Amino acid sequence: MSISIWMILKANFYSLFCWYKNNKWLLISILIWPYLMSFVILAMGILYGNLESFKERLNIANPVLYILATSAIAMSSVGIIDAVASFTIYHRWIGTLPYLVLAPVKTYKILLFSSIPESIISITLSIVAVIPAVMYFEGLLGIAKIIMVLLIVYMGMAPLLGLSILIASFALGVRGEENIASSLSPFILMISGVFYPIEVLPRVLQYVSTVMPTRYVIEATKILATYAIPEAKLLFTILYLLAILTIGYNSISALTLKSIEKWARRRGGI
Amino acid sequence: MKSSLLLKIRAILWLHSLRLTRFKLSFTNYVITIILWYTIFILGALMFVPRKQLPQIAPLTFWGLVMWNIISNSVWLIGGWTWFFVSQGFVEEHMLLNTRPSAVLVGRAFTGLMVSLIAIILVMLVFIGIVGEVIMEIQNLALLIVGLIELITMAICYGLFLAALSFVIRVPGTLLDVANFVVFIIGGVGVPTNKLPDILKYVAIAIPYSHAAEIVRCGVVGIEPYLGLHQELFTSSLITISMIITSIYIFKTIENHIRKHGVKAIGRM
Repeated sequence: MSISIWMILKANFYSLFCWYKNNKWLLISILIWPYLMSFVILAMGILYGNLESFKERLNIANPVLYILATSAIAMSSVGIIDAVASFTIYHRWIGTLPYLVLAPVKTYKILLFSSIPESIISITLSIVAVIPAVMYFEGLLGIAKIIMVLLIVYMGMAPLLGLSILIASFALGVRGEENIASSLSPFILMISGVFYPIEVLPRVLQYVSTVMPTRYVIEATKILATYAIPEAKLLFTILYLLAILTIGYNSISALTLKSIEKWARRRGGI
Repeated sequence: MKSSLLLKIRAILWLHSLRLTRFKLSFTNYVITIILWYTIFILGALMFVPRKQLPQIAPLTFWGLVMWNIISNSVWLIGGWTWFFVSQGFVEEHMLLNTRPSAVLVGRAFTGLMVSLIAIILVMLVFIGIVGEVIMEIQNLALLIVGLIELITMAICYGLFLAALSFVIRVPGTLLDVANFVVFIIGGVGVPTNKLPDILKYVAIAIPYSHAAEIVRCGVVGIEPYLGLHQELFTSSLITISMIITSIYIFKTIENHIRKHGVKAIGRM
């Protein structure tokens, strides 16, 4: 019997459902993460400085909405990258990686479609979690903006998945059980300017950030936190860039994974 | 055959040094991960501080992060590591070989301190790049050392306490991070107790780390500790001793419990 994409998706949705059902604390912790991140930044910032300086330096009108939304984006990005990049190392640890590689479906498809359920759930939970706070501070307009952020993050998920598969393919080539992917999420977030303007980073990192999908998702959030009704042209430029990155990353990762997989099989590293 | 204490310490240190060298990529990756997360938070928090005040605020932020790093490494590299330790069946194996799991877990402090040391040096370089060498100025080295030793001991005891609990309860590891974040802000670690709102000052006093943190800050920038220097020194020493006794007692009790009832693995990390 051939394995369809639908079967991979269904199996992974079911697996996740069981994880959350059996471990409700895990679900609760995902919901409170964006609040914790916002709390730490806001508390440290306010106790040591003031909101006015933050508004002035980031050139935004609404710092609370911005911090809540960017924290949710940060956590959902971490969720996406971990879902893919840690996939190979996790299966190597539990001894199921050889079975996945030998399965009658391409490894690229397994990596991509196995991580889609976790990515979708991670994004949705992280963004939906901040809705009560946004409703309290910003009212209905705030909720409309958060829904727009959610849609943009879904768009940003596609290139991020490609980028994560690229990293996962390198993890496939590493012998042993070393985790080489965990620094990827904070690196991507750091150069995307999650709580600060990109301009504070060294010039080299600013150039690298131009190919990071999260940078554009955060820029879109900044636009939404600055204007009551943002100009459509600004948002569409971002969506256009995300589409280009999607094609680019997914094409490169498909090719890279194929050759690394072949090499790792020949060498016996899986 | 009964082995001497010295031999056991040597064996445990050898085990963890061997793991450290074999997993050098994981080790490097972990250190980089810490530095990157801290850089994100530092840059975010410094955006709130007016430029003129940066030289006064930066040392407090830096040492707050140093203390947070020590606490969170002990939590993750001792308390969180049990996920790996249990899933590989090492608890039973060590017990069968007449080695207490707690002794192996205490040895993880070696890995934790190595990670902290390298991460702190690199975070210091990031800070020097942002605000200059002002963060290297220390008012009283003796107080700084006393505060740090107490904080490290408390953090190891807390990590051991979590490790013991993780053998018998099913709480996901992510909640450890939640507790870390809370301790960082309202536990008087990241922010001096006297800067907290009145109600939170009571919470900070109740959290053991705040007393050692106040001593560290007194040593670095000369801020008078919230309860006064002598009282903070006495309180933090008392808490450190109590935490050592409590963690040893809890681990012994739980080891006896798992001999009878077996181990329950900690939830998904």
